[in-house]
Amino acid sequence: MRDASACDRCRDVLPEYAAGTLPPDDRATVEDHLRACTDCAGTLADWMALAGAVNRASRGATPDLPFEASWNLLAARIAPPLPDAAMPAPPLAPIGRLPDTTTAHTNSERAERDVAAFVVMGLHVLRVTGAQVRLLRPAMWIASALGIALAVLYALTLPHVVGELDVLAFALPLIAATGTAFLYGPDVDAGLELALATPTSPRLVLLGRFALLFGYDAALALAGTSLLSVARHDGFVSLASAWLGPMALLSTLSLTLSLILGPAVAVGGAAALWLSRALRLDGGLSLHISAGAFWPTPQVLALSLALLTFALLYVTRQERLRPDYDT
Amino acid sequence: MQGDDERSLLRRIAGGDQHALRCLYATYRTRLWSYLFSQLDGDAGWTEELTQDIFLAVWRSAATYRGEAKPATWLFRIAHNLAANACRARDRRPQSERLVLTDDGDERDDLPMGVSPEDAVLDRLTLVAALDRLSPRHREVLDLVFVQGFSMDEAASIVGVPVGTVKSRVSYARRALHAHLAAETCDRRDRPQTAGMAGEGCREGR
Repeated sequence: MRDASACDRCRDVLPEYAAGTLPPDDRATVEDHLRACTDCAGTLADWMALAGAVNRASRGATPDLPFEASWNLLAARIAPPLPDAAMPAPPLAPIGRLPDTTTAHTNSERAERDVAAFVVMGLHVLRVTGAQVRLLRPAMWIASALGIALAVLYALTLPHVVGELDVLAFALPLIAATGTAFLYGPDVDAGLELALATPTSPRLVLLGRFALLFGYDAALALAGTSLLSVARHDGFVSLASAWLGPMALLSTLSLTLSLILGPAVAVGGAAALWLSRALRLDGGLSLHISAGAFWPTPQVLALSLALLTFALLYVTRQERLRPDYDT
Repeated sequence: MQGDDERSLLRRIAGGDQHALRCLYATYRTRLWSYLFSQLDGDAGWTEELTQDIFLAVWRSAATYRGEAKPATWLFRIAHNLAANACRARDRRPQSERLVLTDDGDERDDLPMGVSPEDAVLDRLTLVAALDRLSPRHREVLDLVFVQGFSMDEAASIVGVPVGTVKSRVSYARRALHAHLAAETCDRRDRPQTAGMAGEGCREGR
């Protein structure tokens, strides 16, 4: 009787078997199965044909330039030749004032170049940020959306205004902080090492990711707040103010802690700080959330900005440290 | 182990050792050149330039290599990114004529019994044509898995997609090639036989 699961396992690795890259133990297992399964043997024939076709198509693709010539070109790019010391130094500029028309023309050109450079840099930032969307785990987007939706739905069920404000102030910052804890770092990003091999600045990568996730969470939170505001005829600004400051502060704090100590400590630390600051036991076992703990005052926003700046500086320093190859 | 030697080379390169870079260049130049050649529509000059760009990037960023990925995977990831950036930044050149029929005596020697040289040429044209009909993304993963010898997981990390995506692209390529070859084989069966062909025109489809 054909073992469907064995066939599935075998077919999963047949491409690598056909390519000759399967480890010896796995190769032996596959060969044992192929001896008994004609279906899989037939599938292997297709893979072998494909492997052969791909290799035949690439045959002949070898460099035209001899190795030494190519290496000399590369070496020249790595260490450009020094200026010839025997060449005479350029003559000193004559003493005197340059014509005013020349200066004016240069300033205009310089301004145009600056604008063009700014535009190019801006486009580069947008491209890098956009590229991060695919690199962030889909679970982050889904989890944020679910968490915020649940918080808003729960707030809608509460009977009075103060309850809504407390739920938003408590839940939304924690949801955002949990997401930012998993934004960056070798613990959470399997492709980080390879991404660092590109010329893109790690600072720009981190900033782009933070902007994306924080913007996404804030947009969802604003949408939920609008819904609450309409449903309960509450002030939109007062509802949004309850979570905006805490969300900015906890997100940047969580991000900074994750870079230094890892995502688990970041989530735990941000949660512990927020719970100790925002919750208080009143009487028996009931909890009250002090929503006014972190209103979006200038001080709170400035502190958030400072934490973000520290994180951006830290990540650049972190990547410049010599890696420990022995680990 | 070769991987340990290459890690050692990267450590030395991070320390500014040009000789180590030359050794790494000698080891990987042809493989990377071959990989880029197919990504860049067979433009040899562009391929040579980008191959050097890869090692320039290695020279500048060897210190960022943490040793978690294999050196080959790391290098090919750089190659993939540079090729992708280059294709986005420059106009794509017309696809060069890759079906260059060289008078290669080795090909004649490789023919199995009953297969004429004309059939061998047609086979190669058919295979290359079938592969050329695939999208660059599919051809890239085929190259990484079947020519460069990376595992599915390594190919996924090089290209920057989930391993499931790599598997689905490879499977799609197999089905597409199978269908194309089957159609070509039936068409060839209907072609009139020419003088000198050793065997029947129609061979079993793969």
